[in-house]
Amino acid sequence: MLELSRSTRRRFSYNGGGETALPEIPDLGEAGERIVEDEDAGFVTRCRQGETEAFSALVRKYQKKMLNVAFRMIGDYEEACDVVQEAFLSCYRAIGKFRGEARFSTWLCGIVLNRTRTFLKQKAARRQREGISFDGSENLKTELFSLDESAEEGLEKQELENSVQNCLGTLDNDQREVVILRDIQGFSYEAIGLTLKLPLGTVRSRLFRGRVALKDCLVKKIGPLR
Amino acid sequence: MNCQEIQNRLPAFLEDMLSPEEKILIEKHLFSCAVCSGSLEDLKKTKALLTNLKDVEPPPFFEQRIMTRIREEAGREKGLWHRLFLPLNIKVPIQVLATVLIAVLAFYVYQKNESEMKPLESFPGPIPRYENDNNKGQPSPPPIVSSPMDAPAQRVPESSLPESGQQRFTPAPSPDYFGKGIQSGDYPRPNQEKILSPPGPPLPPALADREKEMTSPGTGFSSKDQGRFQKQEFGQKEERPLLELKEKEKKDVAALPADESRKSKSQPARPKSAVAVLKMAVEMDLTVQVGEVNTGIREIEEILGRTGARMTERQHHPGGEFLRIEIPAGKTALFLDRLESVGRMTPDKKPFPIPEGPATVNIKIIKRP
Repeated sequence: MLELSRSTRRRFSYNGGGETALPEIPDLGEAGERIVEDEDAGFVTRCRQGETEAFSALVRKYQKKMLNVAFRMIGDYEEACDVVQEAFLSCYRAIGKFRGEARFSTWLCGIVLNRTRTFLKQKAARRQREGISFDGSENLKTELFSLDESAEEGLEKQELENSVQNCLGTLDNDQREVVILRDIQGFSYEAIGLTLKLPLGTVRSRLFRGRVALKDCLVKKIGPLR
Repeated sequence: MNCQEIQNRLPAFLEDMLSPEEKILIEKHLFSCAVCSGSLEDLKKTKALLTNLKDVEPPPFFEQRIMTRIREEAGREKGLWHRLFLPLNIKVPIQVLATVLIAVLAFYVYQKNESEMKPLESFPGPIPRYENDNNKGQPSPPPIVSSPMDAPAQRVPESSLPESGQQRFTPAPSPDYFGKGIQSGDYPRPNQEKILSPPGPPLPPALADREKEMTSPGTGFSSKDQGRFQKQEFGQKEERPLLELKEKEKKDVAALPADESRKSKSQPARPKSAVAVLKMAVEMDLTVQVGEVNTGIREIEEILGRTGARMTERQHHPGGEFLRIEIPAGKTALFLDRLESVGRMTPDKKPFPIPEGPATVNIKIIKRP
């Protein structure tokens, strides 16, 4: 049993060290030449044939999901909207390169995350130049959450969600991506691996570390959660 | 395992990703450790919070905003530029295009100008200049006396004449220049007739003397001959507008075979046709002033014997003799050298280049005053 646990640690450690930077457009090289079944394949084909309106259907279908991914990553609603818009534009430009080795949604999510990462880097550099500290959570737009519940309950829930968002902002980008995709968006480990072009072991290790870090942050902020 | 190690494994424990042995070990520890079991609860709660986070809604018209950008992009892609260059997948910098365009234009302009400048290049003889106003009326320099090639140039096609760096781009004399009575047969002059007429504008003294000498009744030449010599003495040619010269050149080029014509265009040096023409018979008009006309004629007859030339015509005039001499090919230079020793030869310079082919020389022998 001890041997097994050591091998598990080694595996996590190895995978963690083998992380690589994400490409601009996800390549999905590990998927090989396999073609997955994709409910969006018809729209994608029409887009590749120059039918702009087919892309409209894809935008309609994925705009909310992609906006939430970007929003949880960035923490600012307006900035997330801009990033998603640019990501859809990049997706349209590169749709000719999409070979159907992963689902369109997976590929699109990879583009959104790449755009998000670039945006956050630029933002951090800008803030560093201006001498402003950035923990990724100060711009949270509280008015975005619905207020149709009772005022007290709504306020409490809103406060809790703000805390979660703030703590998400404290995570490393790598851990935050995995936590958002798995625990908020409900992606499978395989889908996360394809999206981020990471081995499954790396996905797991990042997810577990991210969860522990997030839990510690929340306990520190609002006390024991139980 | 201590608490820290247990807590590090709690996420994997929750996901049921540990081996059964590890799982039993952690379960035992959690049963006895409140801190670690509390941590497990916090972890579960954290995951639940994340899962239950409320989604944000896209702003109104978000899809329309995106699609507006997409349609703009698609519209640009369908533009002519993209249709031309996108399939090649080559991004040609605008600087490269501009450079290529300038190079092509420059080549085109050069080619066009080259053909237009050829007639100008073919003008023979130096262009006389009167740049110094202080020299007005002084006998030297004598710019009126044109080069010896002026006279033969009447008969040699212009394209065959030598190219001279000085001559190539020298502008035509100004109207003021002609107004002083300085004539050059190299350029068409609108006021040439006025200059040739007897009461013409005043000439510089040296030129006036020479003109008087040539046109004086005492020479005994017929008016036809006088006019002929008068014209040739001053290196005048018949009036030939530039346009006519150009047409002549065109005819010369057109007479060549097509491939030769092309070659002559591409070669800035003397065209092949020009070489051929130089080898053809050319005719020169010369005046030789001697002490005694008869002595001069004898000396010339001696030269004929040495050079293989022959006299084809001899006319006697009260003022001297007119000889027409045909010189065989390759002997023209020798003949002219010898002729210089007979008397003062006008034009007093040898024509350049010396014709390689057979030449005909019209010599007017007059008594030196």
